[in-house]
Amino acid sequence: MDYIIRRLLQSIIVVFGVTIVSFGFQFLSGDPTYAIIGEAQGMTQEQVDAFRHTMGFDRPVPIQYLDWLSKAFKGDLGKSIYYSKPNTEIISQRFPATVEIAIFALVLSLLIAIPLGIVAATHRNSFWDRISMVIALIGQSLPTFWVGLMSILVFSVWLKWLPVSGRGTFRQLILPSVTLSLYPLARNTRMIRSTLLEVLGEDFIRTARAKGLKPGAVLLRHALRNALIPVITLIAIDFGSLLGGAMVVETIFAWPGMGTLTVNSIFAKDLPLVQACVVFLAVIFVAINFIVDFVYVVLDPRVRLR
Amino acid sequence: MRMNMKSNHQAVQSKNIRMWSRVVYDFKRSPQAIISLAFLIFLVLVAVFAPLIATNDPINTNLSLRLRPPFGFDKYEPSFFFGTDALGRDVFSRMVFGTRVSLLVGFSVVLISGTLGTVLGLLAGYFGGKTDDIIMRLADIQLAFPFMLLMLAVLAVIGAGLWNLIMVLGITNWVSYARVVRGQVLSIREKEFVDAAREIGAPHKHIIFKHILPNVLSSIIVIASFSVASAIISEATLSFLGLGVPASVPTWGTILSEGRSYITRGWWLMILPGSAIALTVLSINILGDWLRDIIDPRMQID
Repeated sequence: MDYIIRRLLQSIIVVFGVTIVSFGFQFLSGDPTYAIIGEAQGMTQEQVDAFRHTMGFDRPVPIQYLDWLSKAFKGDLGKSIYYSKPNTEIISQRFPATVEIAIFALVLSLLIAIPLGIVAATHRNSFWDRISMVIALIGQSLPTFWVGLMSILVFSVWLKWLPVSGRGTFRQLILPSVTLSLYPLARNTRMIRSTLLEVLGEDFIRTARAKGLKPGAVLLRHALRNALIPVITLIAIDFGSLLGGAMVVETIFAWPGMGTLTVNSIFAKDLPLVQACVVFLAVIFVAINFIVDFVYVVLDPRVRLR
Repeated sequence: MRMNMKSNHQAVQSKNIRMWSRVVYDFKRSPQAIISLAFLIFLVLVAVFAPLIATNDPINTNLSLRLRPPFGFDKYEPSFFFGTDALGRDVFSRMVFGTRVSLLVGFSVVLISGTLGTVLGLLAGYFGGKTDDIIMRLADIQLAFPFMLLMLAVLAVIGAGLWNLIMVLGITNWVSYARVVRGQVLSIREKEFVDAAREIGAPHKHIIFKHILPNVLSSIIVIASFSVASAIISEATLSFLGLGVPASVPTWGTILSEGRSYITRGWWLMILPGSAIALTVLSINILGDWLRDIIDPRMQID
């Protein structure tokens, strides 16, 4: 229990830091007024001052931060300049699309990575082991945005099998989620292989084999149960980073999720909305990590003793 | 006491020499590593001698030569080996000059983030306690942000550009160094030669940089090799999204970014610069994997 409380305190500190960074980045160039309106061509000084006043940038920075933070606590993440709607409303419209693509990519990567990792670890140096290592290497080396572009070129432009962009039908989901799954696929295959190899080398596996248990039973009952615990952490962290990492893939396939929303609001200089997206995704990531640690304690009694 | 420490130190040094001679020995027996290194040396040469290798001016536009295909295809224009882009600029020459940007970003980012991460990792591991807590919480905060999102947000405020990009990538990539270095320092600081140095009153700075740093250097090199690759990908991705290097500067990312609108008529604008990025990153990762297998197969990066 001490462990959970300590992790909870750590998470609270991290969330606090996250809010400072999310709030503070807009001041990196000094006055955020100019970051939003540019060089203010064609605007009189009065208009600039009036804008600064409506945005509240004329107040001392700590006051601005505390005001923003207390509102954020009540679920108010400010108002978008571009859409002139509350940011939480815009985010709640876009977030489901990102969750959809992230879950699809995650499930796809695990469906391939888990069997491939297991075969690679149990049949070391075999054909499948080599295949798994090649997939891991290539998947981690190809830039995601290029894979996306190439899949559009091959499957949409040349073969005309799948639509280029948009959301709605299942066919539109295929290219973006396959593209997004490539990196976690590579990383998970490598991770499952190496954790399983490590577990297979331990004493209790030798004992299980020595008492005459069939190889399949050793694998299922003893090895996998232990090897998959770290994989659960990985899955959760993957999910968190997929939510944020979908940005590039979403932009390429015009997928109407958080990613395109953030990129567009960055180009529209809609700083309040950018800020809301950043803090929203980061807090979700911290929350996922905390939940994982909690699940970990339930699954692995050894953690409780630390 | 002094003698003892000296000989301990020498033992560490000779261990390092043994390790590096094994690196050279293994290298000669690994064809992938040899090919990868050869390719990277080739790239460095291309970057250095770019003006001599480029067959045309990389910036010069020529609207009568728009979207010509590469060598071997219909309507190929001689000396424009990789075809031309939508403004009639030579893709081959642009890619040759783009090599400079990719390598410059890769190495500068690693230099900045490696130094920052190593120093923070050394401090966290060596002093422990509050210092460790603060540095590791900073790492957690950094990791909580989706990486690309943070980069884009910061670049949107401070403005895009090559040096801004390098600074932001350099500052945000320190965590993996800090974590690995800290982990190793935790065990190294309990070793006898560190105790001995402390007993004779060596200052912390001396112990950290003269006794501990040499022992974590090999891991730092492994992480550095992977992070050159990820910095190159980040630069290309950000330039592709339009917030990296300005579109006027020829880089692999900007060629892809501009070529994207011509995906149906100019496939080479996608395939050629993308392959250059992929091959470069692949070579670096192969070398990194190989180096890790020799130095520490159990090391977990990222």
